[in-house]
Amino acid sequence: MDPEAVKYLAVGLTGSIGLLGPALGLGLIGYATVTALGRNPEARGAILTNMILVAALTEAVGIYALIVSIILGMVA
Amino acid sequence: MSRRGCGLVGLVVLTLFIVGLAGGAIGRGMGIDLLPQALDVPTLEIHEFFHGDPIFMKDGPVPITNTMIASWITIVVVTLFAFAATRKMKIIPGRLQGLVEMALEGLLNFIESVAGHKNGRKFFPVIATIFIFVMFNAYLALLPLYGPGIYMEEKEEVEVEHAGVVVGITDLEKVEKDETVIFRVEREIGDGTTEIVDVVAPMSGHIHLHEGIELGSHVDETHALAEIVSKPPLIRSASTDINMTLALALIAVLFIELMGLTGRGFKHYISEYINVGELFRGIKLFFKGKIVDGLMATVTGVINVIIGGLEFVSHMTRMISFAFRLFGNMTAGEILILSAAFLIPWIMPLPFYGLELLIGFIQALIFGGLTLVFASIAVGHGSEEH
Repeated sequence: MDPEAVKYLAVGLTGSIGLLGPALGLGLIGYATVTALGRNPEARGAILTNMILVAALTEAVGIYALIVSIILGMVA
Repeated sequence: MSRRGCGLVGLVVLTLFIVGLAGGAIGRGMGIDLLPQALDVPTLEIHEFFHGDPIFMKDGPVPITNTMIASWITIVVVTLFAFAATRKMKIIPGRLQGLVEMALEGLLNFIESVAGHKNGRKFFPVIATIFIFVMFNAYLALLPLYGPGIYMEEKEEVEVEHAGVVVGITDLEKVEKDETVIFRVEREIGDGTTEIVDVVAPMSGHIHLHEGIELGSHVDETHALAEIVSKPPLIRSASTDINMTLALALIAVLFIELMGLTGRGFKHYISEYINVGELFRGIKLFFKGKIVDGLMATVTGVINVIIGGLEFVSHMTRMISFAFRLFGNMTAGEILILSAAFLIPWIMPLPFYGLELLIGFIQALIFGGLTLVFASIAVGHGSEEH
């Protein structure tokens, strides 16, 4: 295959596969939050704070993949 | 706001949106060139990905980069803010003093709720400094002073040392200093033999060939072949420099380890990493003749030693994940806003600015909060007092 084509394939695949995990994670976080809110609506504040913290931590994993794909696209 | 005011604002926003759509990259792609040159938005361009671009003292031992300037601005702003808030302190606080007191009290309550009263007071200075520094860095970076709007223009001519014939020209638009070969020049050394000389880029940037320079043209040392132009932004968000986030992560990790060392004492602290007690016990049992017990204890001991090594590795990986999390989030935010401004100027970046306000706060909270959690784990559960 053409090296240039492989490079673009690598960029796209790194982005897409790397974002698959965080996407699943964010879905799970949302699911758990809604379940917890349904069970205990009074604890809304604490649940939402923890949700945002964990969501940001999960999102950071996706951003690692983004960095790698940007580096691949720019440098390699 | 009255109904008429709302309608007026909506109309202005809609007009700006349509003009931006026609004048931005999308409009340009469709062949509408509406905006005059002066109103042209900066095109999306990332200079150095991992670190800032040197702006002043480029050849000195410590080049001053644009990200360094941004972090100095943050320091000055935070200092002035604190000074203004605490200059005339009163029992009944005014507006500014009240705001600062409220923010710091909220932070202190958060820290004490995680680490307990005594440890919380001990951790507060470092955690609060990290939090405030990261958050002000993120918020100040949203100002229009930052980013590619204001730049330093640098030019450098590409020259050859000897006369010759151009036999190769790079087809790249962006060149890297000391890496990209821009020209290949064939020159005569006498007796009809020739030699091919590579001309390497003297600096990084965009390359513009001069008139009449093409394959086969004769060049000599009196005329420059091309010009390299680089436009690094004057100020760039400090968190988009891996050196800054790595330094902050180093401070955080050193703080965590120091708290572990002072909180639990040297013996307990070091036994977390170098756990050889069980191994020695097993060997001792061997020599006493209890083969089975000795073997069991030795195997457990070896596993303990490996776990100690893993513990050390995991503590050091924290630093990398700290650094890359902050760097990645801030860089991604910057690229996001630049791409939005590139596609549809003026209106499309607005929601992303709102998102960046949230992300700046959350990243500061995560950096400070994780340091806090790790530190309170490192101090140990011996003296908990929730």
